[in-house]
Amino acid sequence: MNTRKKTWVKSVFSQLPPETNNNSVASPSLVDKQKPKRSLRSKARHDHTQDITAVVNLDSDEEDSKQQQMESNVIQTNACITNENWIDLYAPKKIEELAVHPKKIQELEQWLRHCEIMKKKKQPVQLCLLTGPSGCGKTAAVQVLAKDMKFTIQEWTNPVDQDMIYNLGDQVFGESNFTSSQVDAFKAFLFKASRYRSLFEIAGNDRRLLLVEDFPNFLLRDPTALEAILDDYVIYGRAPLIFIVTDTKRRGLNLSYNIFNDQLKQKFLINHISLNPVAATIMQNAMKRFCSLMRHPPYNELYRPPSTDLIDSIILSAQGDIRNALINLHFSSLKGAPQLQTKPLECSQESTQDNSKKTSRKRKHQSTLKSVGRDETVTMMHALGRIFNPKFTESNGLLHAPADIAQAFVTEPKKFVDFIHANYLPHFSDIETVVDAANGLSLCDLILNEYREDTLALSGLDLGVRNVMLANRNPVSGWMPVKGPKRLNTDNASIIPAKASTFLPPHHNISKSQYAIEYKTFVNIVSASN
Amino acid sequence: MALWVDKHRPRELLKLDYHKDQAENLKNLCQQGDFPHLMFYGPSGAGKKTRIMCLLRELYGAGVERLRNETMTFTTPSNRKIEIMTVGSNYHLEVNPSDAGIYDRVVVIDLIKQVAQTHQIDPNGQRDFKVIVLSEVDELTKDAQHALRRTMEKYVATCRIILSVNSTSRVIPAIRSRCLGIRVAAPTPNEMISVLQAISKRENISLPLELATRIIDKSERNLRRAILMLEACKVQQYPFTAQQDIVELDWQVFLRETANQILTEQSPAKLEKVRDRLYELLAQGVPPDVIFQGLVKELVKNCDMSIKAKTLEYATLYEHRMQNGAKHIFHLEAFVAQFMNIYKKFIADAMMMDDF
Repeated sequence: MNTRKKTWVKSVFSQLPPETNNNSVASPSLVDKQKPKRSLRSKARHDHTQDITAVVNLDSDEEDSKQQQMESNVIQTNACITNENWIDLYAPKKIEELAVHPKKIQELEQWLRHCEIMKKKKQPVQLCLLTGPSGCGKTAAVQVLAKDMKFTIQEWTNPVDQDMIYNLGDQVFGESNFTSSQVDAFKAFLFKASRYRSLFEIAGNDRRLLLVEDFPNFLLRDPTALEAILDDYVIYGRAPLIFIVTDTKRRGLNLSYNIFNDQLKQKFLINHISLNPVAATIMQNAMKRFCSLMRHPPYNELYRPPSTDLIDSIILSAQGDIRNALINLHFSSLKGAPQLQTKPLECSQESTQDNSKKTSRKRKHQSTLKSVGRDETVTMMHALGRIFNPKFTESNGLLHAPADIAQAFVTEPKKFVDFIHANYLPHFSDIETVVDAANGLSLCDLILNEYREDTLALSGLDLGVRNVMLANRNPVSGWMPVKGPKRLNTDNASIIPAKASTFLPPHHNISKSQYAIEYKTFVNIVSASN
Repeated sequence: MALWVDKHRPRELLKLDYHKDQAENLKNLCQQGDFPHLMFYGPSGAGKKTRIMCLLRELYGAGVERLRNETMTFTTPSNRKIEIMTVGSNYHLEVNPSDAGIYDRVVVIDLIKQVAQTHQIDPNGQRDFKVIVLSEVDELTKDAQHALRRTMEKYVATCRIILSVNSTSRVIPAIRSRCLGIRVAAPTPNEMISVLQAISKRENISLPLELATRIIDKSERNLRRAILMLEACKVQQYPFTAQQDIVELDWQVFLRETANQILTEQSPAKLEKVRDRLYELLAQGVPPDVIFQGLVKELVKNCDMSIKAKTLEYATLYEHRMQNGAKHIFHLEAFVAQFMNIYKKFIADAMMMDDF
């Protein structure tokens, strides 16, 4: 029964190791043989129709089997390639292959050499913090450099299962169970891994490097806990320690901001190396390398490298994330995979005007991937810039749709509107145009204050953004620093001062606003004279 | 050391200086066994609070004047603690619930419950109810006003509520219909002159009639303001001269300067400066509606007849938005922008006409 089922279910994971593939599509003849058997029951029911369908199906079956035969051939030859994790294939092996700026590599290399020197001088261990956006090659850089300089990397991974000890000696089951603390586990890792050699290591090499990329959960809850641990580690630890942190837009999730504050960095002299998103040229080189790997046998059986146009759009839509670019490249170049859809990038009107003036600068027609590709996140400052200096496309539409900008800030609409309000005036050249913008913001505030309907926040924000963008017919250009919105703290300002209260009756009930309007001026004069 | 306003405040209904018929009526009201909820309404500085205190004294006797301050704490549903200052005697409690901002609803409900659930147990107590005085009820949110309506009904057996309101239009009809409305009109200039003269007589100073009229002009028929002005004038210069400077409220001066700035230049840069000035006023604790009103008055005073209507139209639009919105400055600024635009166009047109 089991085998029969397997024969007609074609595995989706056609790239799995050959053992499993063998069963599914090993021999097309087997499939053919078993086909009649499968339809035994249906044959009984549709006895008279069976003949007709059989005739119709005849040639298509033939085609199917041919195709299957071809596919199975390809898979069998590639079984050895696809068996491994394909992303490992492209991992950089040499320093030259890293998609990181050479200056940054040099910085990291110098730090590693510095660690060696300090160790010889019996100085305390060195700490390093490596930050950068996701997919900029932080981990790859550490691994390649460590290999190059013969360091053994030991990396901390959060234990998924906490060791539950159910039975202690003679105690009854379930009474004394306790979980080992993650803090202790992390401390133990730092202590042991830096001092003792792993069983798999070659004897004689004591160059070890500790890597923490997967931050233990307790650090997220209590960022100060790290300080105590590092205090110990600086004394007892023997190996340099690298923390790798991915930059995030949200301050609450930003580990490098929350855990590694300036005091901590100062105290332990943590060397902070921050990487930038991969530059387009470096990314291009890396893509070239990937493509050349694809063209080499045995991988050329599996891949057909895409056109340079597609590669360009992959690079563009990856936005400096090399991991993302590699994944897109892999799936777009697999044989039999559909062509990735691209959409042309709209050029702004300004750029076309530029072209007519200076013909030397030819603008390449660019396109991004349509559905895959990195999600574009806009920072607040970015969005403000788009609002205050609206750009128009050739078809006279806005280049950045107000609806998109509004959508990006729908979680904190009031804050965003406050920022717009605090900064919009200097960008307007004429009071006539300000009128519409101010009116829009006032309406926006009115709508945002209506709390009973959730979707109104988006509509209100959209309205405000639209008004400010469209009202600004001839924006003032130039550098204008962004100001934060003013906070009104009326509570403190309007508290009746102690000095004034000597003039008021001992038991009065004058409200703060009443005092501010009616009494304040006169009380100040009268109290000044006394 | 007390200010003259408080020192010379009448304490009994029959000693009031004006609206004497009304005082007589209030006195009669107290003679009756039944006593309704009351709502005193009238402009600021007309004497609402004075009349309420006189009425309470009439109801309970001199014991009402033994006041004490009490800080009451309320907990909102979101577990936030709010502290509210109350003034009260054994017989009454005076609160300004709008001090609690958006949490005024909790204050209204809890406070009345606390007071109303205890009966008067004084055997020779003249009245079997307590009085709660709520001031600035028109500043309360709609939520709180509805809560007030409900509690008023529920605890009518043990307490009466006296509301003090500037404008009845901002009190929901359900509350208005449950109260006996008592209008306290602003005193006439002649009444105010007699009050000022009575005070100067008691303070042993001579007040020239001309100065008194000028003070009353400046005070906009607000008696509190007039008396405070008189005292400030005395501090600045005594003996009085007829033409001496009268101290003005500094926020009014500031607002007038702001209006003048709007009239001198109409540009985005100026608008930003005006915004900063408005922020300053708000930070001083001047309520936004007072700023709006004052600004419109100053602007309309100085502009041509032909654009007044348009200005007022926009003023009403944005004032209404401001009442319903959260950020007052947005609406104030939008109004100023509209006015600048109208005024600039008007000036440009006038220039064109001059050229012909």
